[in-house]
Order: sequence, then C-alpha cells, then structure tokens
Amino acid sequence: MKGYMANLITAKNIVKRYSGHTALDDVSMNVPEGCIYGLLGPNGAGKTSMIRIINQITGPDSGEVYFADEKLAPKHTEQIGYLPEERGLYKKMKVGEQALYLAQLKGMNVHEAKAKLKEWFIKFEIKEWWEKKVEELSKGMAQKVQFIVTVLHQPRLLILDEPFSGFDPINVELIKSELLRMRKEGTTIILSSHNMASVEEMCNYITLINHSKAVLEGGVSDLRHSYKQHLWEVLFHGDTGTFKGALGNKFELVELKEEANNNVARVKIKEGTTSNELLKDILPVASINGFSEILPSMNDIFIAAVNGKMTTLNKA
Amino acid sequence: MSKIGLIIQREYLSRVRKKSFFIITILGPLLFGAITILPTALAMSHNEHHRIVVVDETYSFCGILTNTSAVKYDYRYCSMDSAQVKHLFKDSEKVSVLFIPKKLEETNQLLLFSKQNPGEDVVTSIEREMNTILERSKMKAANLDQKIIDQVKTSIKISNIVNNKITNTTYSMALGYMSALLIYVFIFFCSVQVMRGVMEEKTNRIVEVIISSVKPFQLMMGKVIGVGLVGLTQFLLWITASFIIFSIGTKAIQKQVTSVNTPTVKTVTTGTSVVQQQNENNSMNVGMDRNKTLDYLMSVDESLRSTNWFVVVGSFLFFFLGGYMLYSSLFAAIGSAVDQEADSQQFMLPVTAPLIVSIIVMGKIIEDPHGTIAFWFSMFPLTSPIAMMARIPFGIPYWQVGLSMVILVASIFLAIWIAGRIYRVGLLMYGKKITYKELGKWLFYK
Repeated sequence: MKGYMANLITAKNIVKRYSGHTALDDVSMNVPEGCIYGLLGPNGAGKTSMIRIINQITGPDSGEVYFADEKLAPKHTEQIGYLPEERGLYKKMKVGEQALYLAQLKGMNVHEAKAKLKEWFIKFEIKEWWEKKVEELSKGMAQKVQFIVTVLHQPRLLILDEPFSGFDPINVELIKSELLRMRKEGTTIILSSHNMASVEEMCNYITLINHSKAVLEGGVSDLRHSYKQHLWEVLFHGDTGTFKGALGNKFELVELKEEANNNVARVKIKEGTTSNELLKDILPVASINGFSEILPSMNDIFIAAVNGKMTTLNKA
Repeated sequence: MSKIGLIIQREYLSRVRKKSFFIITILGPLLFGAITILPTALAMSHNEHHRIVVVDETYSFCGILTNTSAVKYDYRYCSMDSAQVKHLFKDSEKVSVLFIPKKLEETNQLLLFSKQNPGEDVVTSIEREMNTILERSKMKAANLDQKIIDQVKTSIKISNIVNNKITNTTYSMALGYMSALLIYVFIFFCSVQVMRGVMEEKTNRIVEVIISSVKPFQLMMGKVIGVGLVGLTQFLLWITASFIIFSIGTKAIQKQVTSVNTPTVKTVTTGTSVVQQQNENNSMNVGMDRNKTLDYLMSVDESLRSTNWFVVVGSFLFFFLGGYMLYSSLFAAIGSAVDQEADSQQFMLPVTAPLIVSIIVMGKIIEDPHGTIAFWFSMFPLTSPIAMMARIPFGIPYWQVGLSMVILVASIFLAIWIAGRIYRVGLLMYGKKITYKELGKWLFYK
C-alpha cells in the first residue's frame, strides 16, 4: 500500500502562455494521494489553466506533469473525474442516456455504468428523472447529475473547479459530505476556489496562486501555524482596567471588546514569553471563561503572503 | 466501443431519432418524385381545355381542326357573324373566338378574341394546326399524292455516339445537374449541422467535460463522421424511395397511355366519313402526345439502365464524402470559434463563397464540360466536388478525375489539421470577439 504522502500529481515548473498574457509562470505543485487539495487564489490567477493542464485539455508550454510517477498521458483521463467551473449537459438528451454516455466516455462499460448510476440516482433522489430531458430539470437537479457523472467511474483523482459556486446550499452540503466520504475511501480530490473560506475547512493541503505564480504551498495546519501571529483570545469577567494593567510590557493588547456576558481581549504574546505566562499573569485579576489561540485564516495568510508582510514564509 | 465510436454513435442516433429526420426522410422523396413525375403528369392531364369558338368566313375549316390536349374547337357558331359571336362570349373565361377571314390565303392572318390571354400553348397549337391543314390542301391542290406527302414528312433524330457508346446529352446534363445539386445541398446542410452541433456543445458548456475524457480532435472527428453518416443514411433512403416512386409513376403512366390508345385502333378500322377521319386524327394526335411522354420516360428509364452506375455512384460518393469532410471540418472550426450563430456569418462567407460560385457557374460547366472553366473548377478543392460531379456524366479523362481526387484528399487533411487546431482552442474561448489574426495564432498554440 502506498504511503499517505506519496504524490499522485506532481507538476514541475509549469509555464502556460496565451497570446498577450502568461497564465502560469513556473508553477509547481505536489498533490499527495488521499488528501483534499485546495487550489486557491483570486479570479484570473491561473487556477483553471492549471486544472486544464492536469486534465490534458491543454498542454503546458514548458514543464511536466506526473500522475503517480508516470508522465501524464491520455490513458490517465479514465482515472480522473473533472467537474469544470462552467458545467453543462446536452439539453435535448435524456438524463439517463446522457449519464450513460458520459460514463462510457470515461471507459466504463454499459452494464456497470447503468448499475452504478441507478445507485447514485436513488441516493440523490432523482431516480424518477432518468427518462426526462435535461432541459426539464431544475438547476439544482442538473447539478446533482453533473456531480454524479463526475464521480461515477470512481476516479483516483477528482478535480472540481469552483465546486460550490452556483450550487444551492443543500447541494453544497450534500456534495461536501460525499467528498469527505470519498477522501476516506482514498480518493484524491483537488478543489479550486477563489472563495477561500468555502474550502479551507475541507482541505489538507493547498497551493495559493496569485498573478500566475504559486505564492504558497503546504499543509493547511502547517501553514496556519507558520503564519500565526501568537495571538490569543481571552474571554473573561472582571475589570478591564486591571486586566490591561496585568498585561504589563510582556504582552500587547491588540483588541478589547466589552460584551454583555464576557469581555473579549486579543492579546499578542511577545517573543520570549509563553501563553502559560500570560495565563499566570491574568489569572489573579480576572475570571477566565475562555482561552484559545487564534490561527490565521487562509484568507489572512493569502493577504499576508501576497503583500509579503510575513517574513516567516515556511514552505512545508 | 472506442471513444470516437461512442461519439459517432451519439451524434448519429441523436439526429436520426429526431422527428425532423423522419419528416425530411418522408418528404424528400415525395418532393423528388413529384419534381420528376409532376411535369409529365401535368402535361398529360389537360383536363381543362381552352375552348376555341370558330367563326369561319371561308366555310372551309368548320369541323376539321383537330383538338389537342390544350385546345378544343367549337363549330356551333361557325357561320355566324363574328361581331355577334364576339359579343356572345365577351365575358366568358377559357373561351376564345377564332375568326378566320375570307382573305386568309392572301393575308395569312387569323384573329383570336379572348377576355383573358389564352397563353402561348393555345396560340401555337392553333397555328400549327392551321399550318398543317393549309399545307396539305395546297399540296393537294398541286396534285401531290397523299403517299408522297407522307413521305415528304421528315423527322431527324441524332444518335450521339461518344467513344462507341450511344450518349444522351440531355440525360447527361440532367444527371450532371442533379448530382452536383445534391452534393451542394448535402454539403451545405450537413456542414451547417456540424457547426450547430459544435456551437451547441460550446454554449451548453458540456464541452469541457467531454474533452476531459476525449481529445478535442476525437470529438470533432466523431461529430463530423456521425453527421456525415446521418446525411448518407438520409441520402440512401431518399434514393431508394425515389426509385420506387419513379418506377411506380412510370408504370402508372404507361398503363394510362395504353388505355387511351386502344379506341384509336377501332376508329381507324371503321372510319371513312370526314367526321370519323377527324376523330381518328384527333385521337392519333392525343395518342402521339402521350407516346412522346412515354418515349421520354422510356428513354430516361433506358438511360438509367445504361448508365455506368459504378462510376457515377462511386464518384458521387467520393465527392460527396470528400466535399463534406472538407467543408464540415471548416464549419466545425467556425462553430468552435464563435459564441453565437450570428457571429459565425463573417467566417462562413469566405468558406461558402466557393460553394455558391460553383453552383453559379455550373451552367457554364455543363454547357462546355471539357472547357477551361470546367477544368479548373473541378480541380480547386473547394469547388471540385460540385464541378467534377457535374462533368462526370459527360465522360471525363480518368487522369483528371484522379488528380481532382488527390487534390481533394490532400486538402481534406490540411483542412482537418487547421480545423483541429482552431477547434481545440476555440471551444474554451468565451466572450471574445475573434478575428482572423487571432485564429492564425491559435494554429500555433501548444
């Protein structure tokens, strides 16, 4: 059995130019097998270009892509499931017929595909739509069909480009839970999004792309720790003045809010001190209701990385 | 099944199962049959004769003018005053008053009065009839024997022998026109279908899913082949159905002709009086009209049988498929480059121009199938499928056909290469106004 950390996708120094602009400028990324991998960055950063290269829809101008240590080749398309950002179906075709067609294009035989499709259609509660034409489907139902045909052939690698944009909230939850289940079963999943909050909770690894360049790559928890500001949040009862006084010079009060039940303070721990020391100093003056470290969100990290404010850029 | 096979299957079935395919399949041969049969049938079924009321001052033509399919003579007012008769019929439709003046032999002039213009057919038919009668009476007056008169009548027919084979030029022309037109229609309709199909996939945004499973080139070729097969199916269905309709039609007309001819024979054996002779002439004439029709149909039938179908059908299929491959791949490229059909016009025009030009010059090509225009049009690949097909029934040197085919095949490969390059870029290009310069760049993208 392969180790968790073996890479399913290795992209080395990818360059992709279109007339007038460079979509990817020397981007490398390593997608460990069995993880959910986030490809994050603002619109137009080059995420879709990268995804299309992995899907062999376009080729890079230079650089190489490996699929489980083999050079990426047409035969690998059957091990990949792809849900593009702009997704559609043949409007005039019947739902079941169309799903079968797309499954066969991914190399499944008719009987296998039919059996699997039936299961999925029951699971997603769209069984009675099999004989309907796609144009009769609601948008939410078409989304379910699109998702099913993407995962039906049980791909080793699943690539979803902006998966949660345009999906209705119920479908988003449905799909999120399916994705987590599939990861558990060993599927590697690449998600792209410009909305980092929507995917960071699911991702184990990410690459941040900005202006055609990879800005950051690494494990999500590693990155959050390496970008942490040593900020702690303290919920307490007690006089805010005495609290401030207790902090002294060793700690910096970043923010203090007086709320109905609690006072909420954000405290930065200066170098040479620890959270335990902070706790020791404030225990005498306040009754502590909560004490936790604040880790930066992916969004914070992105902004920090892009602006170059953080010097501790630590590639994991 | 291979992936390209799957694509071909989908393209084929999704079109063949459409209602419109069924309707066109039924209507096509009916239309085709109607076009071949109808003119003949119409010519035969002059149910509504034009009535010619004869007023004859010479008293020598009453009762002896022969009715034809177009004209029926009425002698009841023969000796009445012309002004009176004219007044009588001044408001009648489909009736004319033919006034034969006393001085006919000097002036050679008749007058025909009608409310509405009776038409060329009626006028010439009367002229012909009068000429025949006057010529005969003049010859009789000159004491010529009827036998000699009959012998004098001559009708020359040319047997056109080309390379020791009897050739029917009219028939070659018809065959040339028909096959060239068919190719034109099929290339146009099928290629536009390919373009629409490409645009449908692009605007429905399904294309990205598909080209993540197959190569864009496979998708393009699958579509081109699938739609081509639909065209071929339709064509074969049409041809079969048209042949059936044609042979049924011919048989029906033959039957009708025989039944009309029978009474003529009877009259000949019994007829002696003038009136009966008239009748005889009458039905003979109608019989001859019908015989001509029959002759025509028989000659077509014979020509159909004597045609080298192997060459005609073989080259038809070759140029049909070749022309289709060439045009449809270019149309596929156009479909991929644009977002809406309206935008496709600027690219379609230069591609379809040669097709339309070759239809315009087809008359010239058929008039002079071995001339310079015919030669060059049948070599240039964008016009050769139509131009060559128009020439082939006239017997073209094999080297020319061969050369034209080689050029066409080479061009197909070039067109498919160009189309494939444009196609794979164009498919994923949205919301951008495409120029020729842009298309040129796409050719060299990686």
